[in-house]
Formats: sequence, structure tokens, C-alpha cells
Amino acid sequence: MNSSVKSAIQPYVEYIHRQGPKGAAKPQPQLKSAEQDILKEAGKAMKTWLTSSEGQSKMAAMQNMSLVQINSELGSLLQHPVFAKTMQLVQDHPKLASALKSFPIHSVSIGATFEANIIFGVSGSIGYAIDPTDIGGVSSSFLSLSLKEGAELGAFGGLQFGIWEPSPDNMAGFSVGVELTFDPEIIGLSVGAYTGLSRNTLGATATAVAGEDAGIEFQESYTFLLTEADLDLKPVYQFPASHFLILDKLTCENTKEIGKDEVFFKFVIDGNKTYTYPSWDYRSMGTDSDNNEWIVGRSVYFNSKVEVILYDGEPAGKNDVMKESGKDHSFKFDLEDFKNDSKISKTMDYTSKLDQVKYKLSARLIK
Amino acid sequence: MAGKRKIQITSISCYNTSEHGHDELYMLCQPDAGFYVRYPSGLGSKFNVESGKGYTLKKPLYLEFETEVLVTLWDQDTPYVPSLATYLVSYDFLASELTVGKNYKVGIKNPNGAEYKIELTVLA
Repeated sequence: MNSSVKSAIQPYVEYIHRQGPKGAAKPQPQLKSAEQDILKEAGKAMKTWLTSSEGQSKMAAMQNMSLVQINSELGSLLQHPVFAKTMQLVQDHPKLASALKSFPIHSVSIGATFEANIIFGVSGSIGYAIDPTDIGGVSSSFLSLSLKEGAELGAFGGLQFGIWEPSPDNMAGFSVGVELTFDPEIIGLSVGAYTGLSRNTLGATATAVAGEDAGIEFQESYTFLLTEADLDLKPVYQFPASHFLILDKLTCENTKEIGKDEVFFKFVIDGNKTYTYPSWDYRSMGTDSDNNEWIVGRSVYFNSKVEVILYDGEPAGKNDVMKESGKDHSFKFDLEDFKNDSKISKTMDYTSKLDQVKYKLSARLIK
Repeated sequence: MAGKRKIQITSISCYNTSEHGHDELYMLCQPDAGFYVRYPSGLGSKFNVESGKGYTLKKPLYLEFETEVLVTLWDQDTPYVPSLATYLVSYDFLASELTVGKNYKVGIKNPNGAEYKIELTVLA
């Protein structure tokens, strides 16, 4: 598994570790014949692909792929001829009598399963989901994750095919799974059914490996939909803290450069983790009435202090911090500052060589 | 703890694009400083918007939050390379400022030329 993929997964591992086990009761969903037939066919297709020379070389290559490359591989795999019969069964599913079906299928997914030690031992899959009635339309890229003590392989091991009641854009959330047994058993295939607890939706997966034992444990898991932040490894998620403020408005009274500044900022929470806003690009700011105010709206969880450091982002990539050498000109918000008023503002005002810089940042304590 | 606020973003109107032609729009919404919710959901996906046109969201976008949700509009020039995206506009919707059952319209501008309106309904 590529180190950038591990880095992308890490915030989610931290999240589920903090959530802890919910101790949710195992569901007892019964998969009816229609879904069983789909999963058996998907199992055969996955085994065929995994043992083919194409499948073996792609699974080997996947160990070093980026998230984008994995996403692209998985996105095209459901269109592969080996899955043609499976997808036909999915297409036919709505036409079957309701007595044969357990749930309507609004998503079909294919994922690469893995085990890794990313701070904690985890197992899961990185997957791609589509709406079977609108292929090429709504899709999502997701990460399903469970804590697994002792997991440390750091490698992709097999494929997981899923059918789901939620649509691809609505798959995120907590679910709990239970293993199902086919009779006769299919060697190297683990089948499970899931209940999404927050929305009470159903799903089922078949997991295949090239060898004899898919070795899947069915347990509590979280599914997250991946976004651009995961591609660029931008910290986005803030863990809840005692206090919450909003950086309301940045006002420019004197630009650093002649003309406009290309402004973005970093904020450091409690002297610890640093985030960037906007995550990419910048906001042009000047002293004219149409560009001197930026309604920022950046929310921040914190315990005692937040430091905001302004940057002037040069198009060529050279980013100048608005901070005079040896002197600290960042905006500092301490919890104490809000003692008498929930709305305050701080001013940065300094001269450095030919630069005269003056910005004001207002903030509001919400709790 | 009070129940979560739930809104549906119903439409996006573009008064001015950030560049000549159209903006290749996607949204990243961040409820309560948590993980992003992307619209459209597919990584690298977008919808093209032109100046002077309104767009009803075909697939409903529901957002649930306790305190606030920060909605940011991006112009995706190169799929899967977010560092090349253009920041268009953003708005932070506060639960305490929204009334259940009401519709809201918010117009936002960026000096880079982007000018948009976000419309939403407060469901809960």
C-alpha cells in the first residue's frame, strides 16, 4: 500500500478509534435468492479475475498506486466483461417478484480490500460505487474501515463486490455486518449482510481472494465518501473540542503588495494541528470597496487558542507569509479574549521594508 | 443537545463565472468542521455552469449539522488535482440563524469575478 494512501486513510482511522466500539447488536438480515444469486455470480467473477494474469498484475500494481489510480482501476472494473453476467443480474433485479428480494439495489460497489497498521490496526476496503440504473451518472468513491487488532500487513488482498440499498452519494455512515453462509460453500469467498444503523438500510457483500480463505471478519464499520481533500492530503476534519469559534470577516486596510494581495491563511489550533483555508487557491483582496472584505465563515474547534497566519499567495507558487522577520504578526485568539464579548477583532499592522500591511480579522465565539 | 439542523440546498444560480465560458462547478460542504460532503458525490465529477443561469440540483443535497455548515463552491479545471481548482465563493450557514420551514437565498461574490446565489430549504 502506497504511503500517500496510508496518509489519506489516517484521519479516518483516528476518527473511528475516537468513536470507539458502539457495541451494536448484530443484525439478522436474511438474504433472499435474488441477492444470493447476484453475490454468487459476483464471487465467481472476482475469483476469475483475481486468478487471471490481468487480475494478478493489477492487484500487484495496486500496492503502489495512488488513490486516484485505484479509483480509476476500480471505476472501470465493473464494466469489465468478467462482471457482465453479474451486472445483468443486478439490472434484472427490479423486475423480480418482491417475494424473492430483500431490498432494492440503489448502488453497486467494487472495492479493494486491505489490512494495515495506520496508527492502529485496521481492515477495510477502498471502493467505487455506481447507481446501476444510471451508470455514468451518480457515483462515489468510498473508504470502509473497521478497527482490527493485530492487522499490520499494509497491503491490498482481494476484491469486495457490494449491493446496497442507499444510493452511491448516501453510503456514508456506520454499519454492522454479519457473515452469511452459502450452501455449498464457495471456497475463497466471504459473504456478509449489513445494516446501516443511522438510516436502517441494508447491504450485502461478497469478498474474494485469489487463495482459499477470504478471511473477512464481519463487525462494526464506518464508510466515508472520499473527496479532493483525501487526494491532496489536506487536513480538514477537526476533532470536537471544548470551544467553537467562527472566523467571520477579514478586512484589508493596506495590501502587502501594490495592487491586490492573494490571500489565504493557515490556522493553528491549540498550538498543535495546522489547517489551511481555503484548502487551495486564494482570495484576492485590496482596499477598494468591492474587494476589501472577505466574509470568511471558517469554523474552528479549540480548547484555549487559535493562531491565524496570513499568506500572500504568489501565482508562481512562492507564498509569502505576512510576518516580518523576527516579529510575529499573526492574529492570535485566546479564549480569554472573549471574556467580555463574544465578538472581537484583531488587527495586524506592520511595516517591513517597503511593505505596509494592515488587515483586521473578526471572530465570534459560538460556545 | 438540540437535534441536528437539516437543510436541502435546492439550487445554485450563477450571475458571473470566474473565467470566460463556464465554471466547472463542484461543492465541498463541511458540517461542524467535520469531513467534507462533496456535490456531485463522484470524485472528480462536476457540473458546468454558465453566467446568467440557475441550476436546480437534480440529485438532492441534504446537509445535517449541529452548529454550522460551511459551503464552498469550486471551479475544477483539472479533475483529481485539487491544487489547481479555483476558489469561487463560500458561505457559512449557522443553525441558530435558520428557521425550520423557511427558504433562504444567499448571494456571494469573489473579486475574481465569480458571483453566485445559493438557495436552500430548512427541513429540520
